[in-house]
Amino acid sequence: MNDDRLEQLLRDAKDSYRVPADAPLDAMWARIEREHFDAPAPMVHWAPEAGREGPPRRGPRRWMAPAAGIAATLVIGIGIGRMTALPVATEVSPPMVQAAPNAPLPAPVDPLQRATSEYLAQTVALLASLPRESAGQRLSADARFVADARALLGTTRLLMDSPAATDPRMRDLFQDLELVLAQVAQLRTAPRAEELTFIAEAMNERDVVPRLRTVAASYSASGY
Amino acid sequence: MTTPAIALQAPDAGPPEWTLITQSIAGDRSAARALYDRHARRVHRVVFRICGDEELASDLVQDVFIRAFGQLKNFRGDSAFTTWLHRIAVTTALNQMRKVKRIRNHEEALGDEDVHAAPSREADPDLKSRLHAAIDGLPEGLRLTVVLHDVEGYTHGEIGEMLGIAEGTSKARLFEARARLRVALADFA
Repeated sequence: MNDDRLEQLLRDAKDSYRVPADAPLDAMWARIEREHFDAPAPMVHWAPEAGREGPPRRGPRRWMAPAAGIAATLVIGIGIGRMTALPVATEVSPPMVQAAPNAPLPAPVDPLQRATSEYLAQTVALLASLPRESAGQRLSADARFVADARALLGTTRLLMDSPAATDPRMRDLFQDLELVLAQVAQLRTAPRAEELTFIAEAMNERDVVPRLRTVAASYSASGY
Repeated sequence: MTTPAIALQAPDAGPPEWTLITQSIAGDRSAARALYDRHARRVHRVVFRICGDEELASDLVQDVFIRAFGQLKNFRGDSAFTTWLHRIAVTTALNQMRKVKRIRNHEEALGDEDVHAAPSREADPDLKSRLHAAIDGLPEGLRLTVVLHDVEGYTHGEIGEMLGIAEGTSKARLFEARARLRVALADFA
């Protein structure tokens, strides 16, 4: 088989190799339109899809389902925390900031601490599923992955302004997580290797994941 | 083999692509539908040629456009819209293929036995089927390059963008793929 003959064959393959039947344009558009234009805001993408018609879709991340609730709980919790801790917080804050690096975390207080605990667990899960290679499998970690990161970024910022950030370790952790999640939230559908490398470096330089796991485990051990 | 860059231009007249894109971002369904009509057939053909399954191809096209419309606001025009869209298509198809076992089974059914079966030199249709089987038998990266370059007519630069590889890597893959195809079809003079 010489080159010319092979080229001729490959040219012919345009009309013969895996030629699809006519695309069902209208049927395909129906689902596209429903899911893109009629879908609710991203936060409710995680709701069960039991009644949805059409071809099966990849399942939503179940671990992200309570995110909307967490955000709402945080808003309420921050409000309660500010109302109940106003005079004390201003006077006692210096000694609290001086807490030893390995001192136990303050006992969790519902509902803010419960929301914080859930947020930490979800952030651990999201960062653990971060794609590692540009040509690899979970890349496009799809738009939902990025949407999850954005939701957690918003929650991080809420927490940074909450009593949960009075502990210096937590405040530092939130700040580092804000940086990392902001990068993840900017990822494109098919991120380049260097984008992922930057995120990995940011996490490694600050030991984000080990610190996050330690704090998450501390909250979990406290019953949250 | 040179490839026609014109293959990536909008296939029909009508409103400029950027107009449709901006209107789609603003939530204009008719503009989005027009954008879809302009590109869906080719996206469907590409993903079908990658996956070889009609039902899966239809699912993938829907996934591709749902993702594309969801990310349209991030499209800055650094590359042609078609390249951007087809990058999503190729990535989506590849990711999904790795998860779908029926595709793997399909590839296994087209194994070495078919590729090296005794040829019938007279019948051109047999040569075609042998070529198709040989393409199917290539490793994924090589097969994809042949399909995108030789069958679909993309340039190496566009393939590089779509697959996240260097242009030179695409050329090297095509060279390797053609060498393997020549070996597989060596019985045909």
